Amino acid sequence: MITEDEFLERWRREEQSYAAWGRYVAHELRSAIASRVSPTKLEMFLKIPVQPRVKNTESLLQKAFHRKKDYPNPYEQIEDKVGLRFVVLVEDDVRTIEEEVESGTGWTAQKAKDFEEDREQRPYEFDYQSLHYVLRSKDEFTFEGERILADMPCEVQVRTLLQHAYSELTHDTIYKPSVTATPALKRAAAKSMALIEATDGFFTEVSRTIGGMLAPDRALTGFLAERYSQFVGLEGVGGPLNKLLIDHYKHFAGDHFSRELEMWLSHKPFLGRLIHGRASSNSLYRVPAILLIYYAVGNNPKMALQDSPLSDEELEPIYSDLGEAIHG
Amino acid sequence: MLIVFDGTVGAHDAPFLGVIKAEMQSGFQRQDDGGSTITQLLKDIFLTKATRLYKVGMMVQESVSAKRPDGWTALVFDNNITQSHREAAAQYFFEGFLGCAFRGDGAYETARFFDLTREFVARSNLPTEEKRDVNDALYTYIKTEKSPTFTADEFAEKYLPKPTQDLFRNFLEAKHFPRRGIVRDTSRLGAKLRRRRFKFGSAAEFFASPEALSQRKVEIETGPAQKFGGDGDEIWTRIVVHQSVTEER
Repeated sequence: MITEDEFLERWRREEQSYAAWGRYVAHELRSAIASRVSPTKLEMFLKIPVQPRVKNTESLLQKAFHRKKDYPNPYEQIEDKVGLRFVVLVEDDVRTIEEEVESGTGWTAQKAKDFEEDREQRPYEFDYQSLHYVLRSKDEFTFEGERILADMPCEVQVRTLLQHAYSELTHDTIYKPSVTATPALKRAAAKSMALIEATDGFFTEVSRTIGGMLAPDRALTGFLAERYSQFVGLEGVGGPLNKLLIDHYKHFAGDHFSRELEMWLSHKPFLGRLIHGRASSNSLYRVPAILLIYYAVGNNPKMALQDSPLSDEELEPIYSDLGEAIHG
Repeated sequence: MLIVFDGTVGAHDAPFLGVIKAEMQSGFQRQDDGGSTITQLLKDIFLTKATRLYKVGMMVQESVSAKRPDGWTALVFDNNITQSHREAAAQYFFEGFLGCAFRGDGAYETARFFDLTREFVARSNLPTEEKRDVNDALYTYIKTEKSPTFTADEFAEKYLPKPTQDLFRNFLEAKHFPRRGIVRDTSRLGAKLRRRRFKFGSAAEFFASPEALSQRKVEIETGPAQKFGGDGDEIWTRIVVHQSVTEER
């Protein structure tokens, strides 16, 4: 059995390595998730910034020796010496992160807690819910000048914003010896967890429905971005203006839009040159939706004018390029 | 002032030469100069949004290889070209100055416009009443309007609902009907314009002059049978002629 002094000496030696290991895991997961959820910004997807946290020495020692955990080998068995937490909006997002954790190549991942499995096993209980993984480094390597040893654990917690709220309220209190959890307190906590699980379920329903409604728009947005870069020879700029214009003009894109746009543009090669020429000084020509606007104006000059979010001044050059009169 | 300019036009960069007879105007320009605002009178400015273009001519070289004048298209706009002025004021610009003449195929193009528009209306999904209104308008537009030229756009804007205007434009484009001005010439349409024929299956036919229809001396009304004292929703037609029968053959 390791003594407190031996434990402490080893921890002093390895603390920086653990910190670097935490930063490595955070960096890898952040970039994997970012490319997975793009074009949604990572900062939008993660509701709380991810900060790898190394356990405070004092609480580490207390956990190892004084909390009746009876670890035969406490240094190895305490797996949350460094940890990080991902907080997202809905349960589907939790699963997205889980997939990235499982498919990471820099570690072996072992699931330590899964709220869905807990629900299966203890259907009558409403208690702390979260998804926990313990990631262990495979081989020794160096990251940011620090040596990362093989088999170092790092705890990754993934939960929804509501699960996080519950945990913030209860975790440091009702599970602590100093608090006598009365039946009334336990009952109140269980009631709020039950409510949170129900709400999370409704959130998921709402988020899936919205996702389903946005799917065609996403496909159109992706298609226009791709065509823009090919046809104009520049990378288009997404964002609110692009979204607004696609939303307004999408009803001009019929069932065979991709084929029809292709054919239409092939008769108007000069448009690529004109858009390219204006793109540097006019943001309207940098959004991929500009192709949809040209298409709408070219085929339906009268209807494209109705309730347009663009001013006549902005539309005039587009009508002029296509040989159409904007007014009578 | 006469402005002469050149450039290229269209998908294939066809070279063109253009002339504009521009009216001169004067106006004020505001300049913010730090704290003070300077207002300056500008004289002899032209092509402002407020001035109408009175005379514009463009010569477009559609094909470089064709023997002149075949490769060229001449386009002239003159707001003096109205029935009354056709021979006087306007003639100098398009004929004396630009060396152009009215196209000789007006009769053919007018008849084609008439037929295509009727085809479009028949195939459109406009309600029956609106179809008849547009057809009535077409007869009037072709026959009684006096301006020597017309364009398909002009007709569409006057008589078609907005969404249908775009469909009409696309229909004519697919049929290669020109969007430029057409010389109004009804000589090929003679009989068609004199009377309109309505068929009711194979059992009945009815003829009326467009004037009688537009002046409501003959009224044609359609609707469900109940409206006319019958039974059910079958569509019936009622014709009211404000006149007694004068002859029967």
